[in-house]
Parts: sequence; C-alpha cells; structure tokens
Amino acid sequence: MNSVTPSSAQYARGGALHNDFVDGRRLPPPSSPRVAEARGHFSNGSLADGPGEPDEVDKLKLKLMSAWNNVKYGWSVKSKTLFNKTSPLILMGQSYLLDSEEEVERFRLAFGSRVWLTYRKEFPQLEGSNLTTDCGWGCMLRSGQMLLAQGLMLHRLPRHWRWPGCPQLADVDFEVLRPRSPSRPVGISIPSFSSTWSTSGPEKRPSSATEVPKRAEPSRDAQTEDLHRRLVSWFGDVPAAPFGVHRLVELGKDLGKKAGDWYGPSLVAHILRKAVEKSAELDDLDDLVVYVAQDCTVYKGDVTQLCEQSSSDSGSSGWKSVIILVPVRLGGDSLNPSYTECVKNLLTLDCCIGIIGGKPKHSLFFVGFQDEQLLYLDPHYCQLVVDVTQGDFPLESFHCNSPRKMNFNRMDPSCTLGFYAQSKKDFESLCSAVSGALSVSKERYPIFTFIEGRGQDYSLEGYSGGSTDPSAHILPTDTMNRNSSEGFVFL
Amino acid sequence: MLVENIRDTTTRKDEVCTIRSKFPNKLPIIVERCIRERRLPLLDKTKFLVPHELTIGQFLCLLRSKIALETSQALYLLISGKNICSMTASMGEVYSQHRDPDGFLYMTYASQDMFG
Repeated sequence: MNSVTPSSAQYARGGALHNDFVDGRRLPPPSSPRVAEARGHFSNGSLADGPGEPDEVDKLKLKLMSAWNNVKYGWSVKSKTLFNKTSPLILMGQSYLLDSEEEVERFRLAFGSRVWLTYRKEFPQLEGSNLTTDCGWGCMLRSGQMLLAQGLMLHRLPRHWRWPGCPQLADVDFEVLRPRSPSRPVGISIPSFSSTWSTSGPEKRPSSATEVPKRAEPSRDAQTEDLHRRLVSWFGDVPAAPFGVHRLVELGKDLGKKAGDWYGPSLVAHILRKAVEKSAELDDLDDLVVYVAQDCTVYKGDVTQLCEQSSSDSGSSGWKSVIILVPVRLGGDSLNPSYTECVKNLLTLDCCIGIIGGKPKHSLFFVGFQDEQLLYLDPHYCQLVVDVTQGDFPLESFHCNSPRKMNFNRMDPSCTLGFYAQSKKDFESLCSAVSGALSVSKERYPIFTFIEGRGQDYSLEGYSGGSTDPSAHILPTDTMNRNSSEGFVFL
Repeated sequence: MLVENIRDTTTRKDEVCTIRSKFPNKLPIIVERCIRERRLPLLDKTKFLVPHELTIGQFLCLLRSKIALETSQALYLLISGKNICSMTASMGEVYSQHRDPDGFLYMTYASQDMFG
C-alpha cells in the first residue's frame, strides 16, 4: 500500500507541515489538486456509500478520480464522517452523546488529545536498509505506537488530560440517524434532521458536567504540557527515540522482521514489550512493564510476578504499572460477527487503551465505536518528519482532527487488545471488569481468559506427566500408528 | 447440497462410526489450515484421535511442536472455522458442543494477518 497523502485537504490545519507533500516517485502530478476539487463536489457525506449520481459527467469523473486515489493511497478520500446524534459515541471508555455543542466540544477535546502517529518520510536512514520512510509498510508499527502512546498518557499524564491546542474537528457531520440495531430503543424524540445542534430536549446534560475541568494553576499546566511534549518525542523518528520507528524496527529483527516488511498485531505487541523493557534503563519509565498474553490467556500469576519482580530493582512502590496486550484472532477468514458485541464491551471500559488491527492489509488503531461502526485513527497519511530533538517542535502533526469510522464487518479478525492498570488494585479491578465484558453469552467461549497462577503450570509437561496413557507422547506414536489407524494421528 | 457432498458426508459418518467403535475413548477431529493462511505450513495428516480430557491449550502446544513454531509466534485454533475456544476447555466439552453432523469436530489453525 503506497499510501502517500492525496492532498493536504484532509488534514489541513494551516500548519506548514501539511502543505502538499507530494512524493515525486509515486504520486502523479494531477491527482493532488483534483482531490480537493472532488471533495468540494461531494461534501454531503454520501460519497463512499451512496449510489452514483448519473446526471453530470464531470461529477462522475471526479468521483472515479477520488475512488482511484482511495485505492492507490489507502487513505480514504471519503469526504465526511457522519455521526449519529441519538446514540452514544464511545471513545477510550468515555461516552459522548453528540446532541449538543457541549458534548461535541467535549468529544473534540478528547479525540484531539489522542496521540496520532502516521507514516513519515525523510527521516534518518533505517539501519540495515536504505529506507528513509515507512510509507507503504509501517502502518502496523504506527498503530502499535499509538496504542503505547495511549497507555503512556494514562501512565504519565492526569487521567482526563486534554490538550489545550486541540484542533477544530474537520470533515465531520452530525445527524439524527435511526439506530441500526433493532434491539436499541427507538423511542427517543427526534428533534431535527438538520446538522445544527439541538440544544433542548431531555438528553441535555447540565453544562457543568460536560465542561472539561479547568486547572487553576498555570504552572501545573505548563508542567503537564512539557510531559505531553516529552511523551510525543519518545515516538520521534530518530534512532535514539525509545519508541520511534527506528527502535521498533531494530527490536523486530530478533523476531525475523526487517525494515520494509509488513508486521502483524501480535508481533508488534512483542516489539512494544521489548521496547518498554529496554526504555526502563534509559528513561524515567522504570515503573512500567508490558505483558503480552500467550494463546489468548492472561496468567494472573505471571502478571503479578512481572509487576512485583521488576519493581524490586527500583525498590520504590512495590508494584509497577502494567500494559496488558492480548493478541487475538476473532474469526477465520473474516471477523466472526458474534464477537462484535464483545469488542464493543471492551472499548467501553476505562482500562482499555484501544485495539490495534485494521481492515485487511490496512492497519488502523481502533479507539471507540458508535452503533455498528468502529472509530479509528488511521496511520496511512504520509507526513514529513518532525525533528523532535528541537525543544519547541510543532505538535500539530501528532494529533488528528478528523475522526473516522468503519463498519465492524470490515474489521480484520487479527488484532491486539490493549489494557492498562496503574496499581495492583487497578489490575484486580481490570481483571474483573474485563472478564465481565468478555462473558457476553453462555454458549460462547470468551475471546480470551484470565487464569490464576502461572503459564508454566498449564504447559504440556503437566499433561504428559500426569497422564497414565503412554500414547500421550504424541509425536513418536504418530509414526507407529500410521498403518493401523486408518489415517488418524493418535494423541 | 450436491450429491457428491451427501455421499462424502455418508462416507465420513461411516468412518466416524467405525473409528469410534474401535476406540471409544477417543474423539475424531479434523484439523486444517485456514484457507487464507500462507505463513504456516500444512500438516501432513489432518485427522486426529484425541482423548476427551485433553485441553485445547495442550492440543495447541502439540500442534505448535508439530509445525515447529516457537511459543511466542501467533497460532490460533478456530472451531468450525470461526469460533474462538478457551484454552482450558477439554476436547470432550468442545466436541459435544461443536461437532459436525458427520461426527467429526472441525478445527482450523491460522497465525495472524500482516498489515502494511
């Protein structure tokens, strides 16, 4: 996927960084201005889904052009994302009912404060290759970085920290839509079909509750702002950055990957674990560990040991904060629709730090959902590298102003679920909250499980040792029984 | 349903009957590679006879060693091609809930997809 920015129009915020990056090698000259035109013609939000309008040839041409750009660059050229004003939008465990300006503002601040990491180009050459960009291959690493950034924000910044520099939302529309799910109550009175806010009605919340708490001390704000900048700099595209693409590619080498390869969500989970492990020596991150679940099982004993053992080095709190990553596969060839309810439940939890996954071959960082659509941050946008070693580097390109959604049925079944627990108590409540969210139905097995004890207690040795049947040693008997068992392998 | 498939189903039913009467303590399962899977190798034999008490987790371990995969490499078993199964569930439990009408329990294995 050669995803080069189709036009600055998508994320134009006036920043110098966003003005028409054209990758000369890949982008044919006429496409860039054309996209902006196309957007102008199809600004009603129906471009991607509605049937074609046959009345104007020009319109059709532009539509084809934008569709072509969409295919070629992976970056969706769809004009606007439509949000339902009558059903809650979930973002990182928080719920927003976008039927008033206050709520939209609250959502804008929450969405704009997420760290957004995208393809970059013209960064220092990656060791062992001549690549100076991750455009076209690094999207899963970027999604992983975003997940880690979310975890680090919870770890380092105040819980409901909001970036004062949040951009205005772009390419969004809010409409009253009939909920698609038949199980949802439809009895809410529909105030209007216009895209202006309905400020009256029973859903309106007291404004004091919707406002973002303002901090009185400016010095503390400045301190938090420094932390925010520092956190973003950890993801800078320089070899020294602890979670930059250079470091992640380096750590991926042990797992059989090299620069330019495509990565999977499970592999990235292990890369992130190693990156955090390594950063403990270098940075002020020695109070954080990453646990990656094996075979869809979180062994609570292993997590406890990881948090306690490693904290004895520092000798301070006695318990390290933990990011728990669970690589899963939610279906065979495609997502099994029975698991969407569970994914929604997980994204609703406070302790969930998002899901790295995507559409097939196209990684996305899922941060929430509304109705039957997932809300995501898309790394497929090629930006110029920002020098994060400069003390006052611009932060604009590390935050996104255009929330996007896609249907659950397009979700690739391979993904990694992320959770964060600050303290031991948090971890215990995480276990019960997540277990609750996972047990949607009695007929189905949960998508992953928490188990007391250590992983080694459940290994194969335990099985073979405890068994009285000598044929439990499968591999040797395999050949022995070849003729006698009509093509069956005996276990 | 095609006539061919019906005949196949009948053949498999007979096969299950025969093998289960011979080995009443074992369950017949078929383990195949997910169609879209390209990274993991194919198994040379896909039909297994397993004890009731074997857990899915233990079976996954055996499978891992059979296709020479390291423990940190992603390997997933899906029941009937799409359903997730707990590692602690026993084969007997899974078989009774998910076996095909032909008497086999079908499982597919896959790693994870890659993204660019």
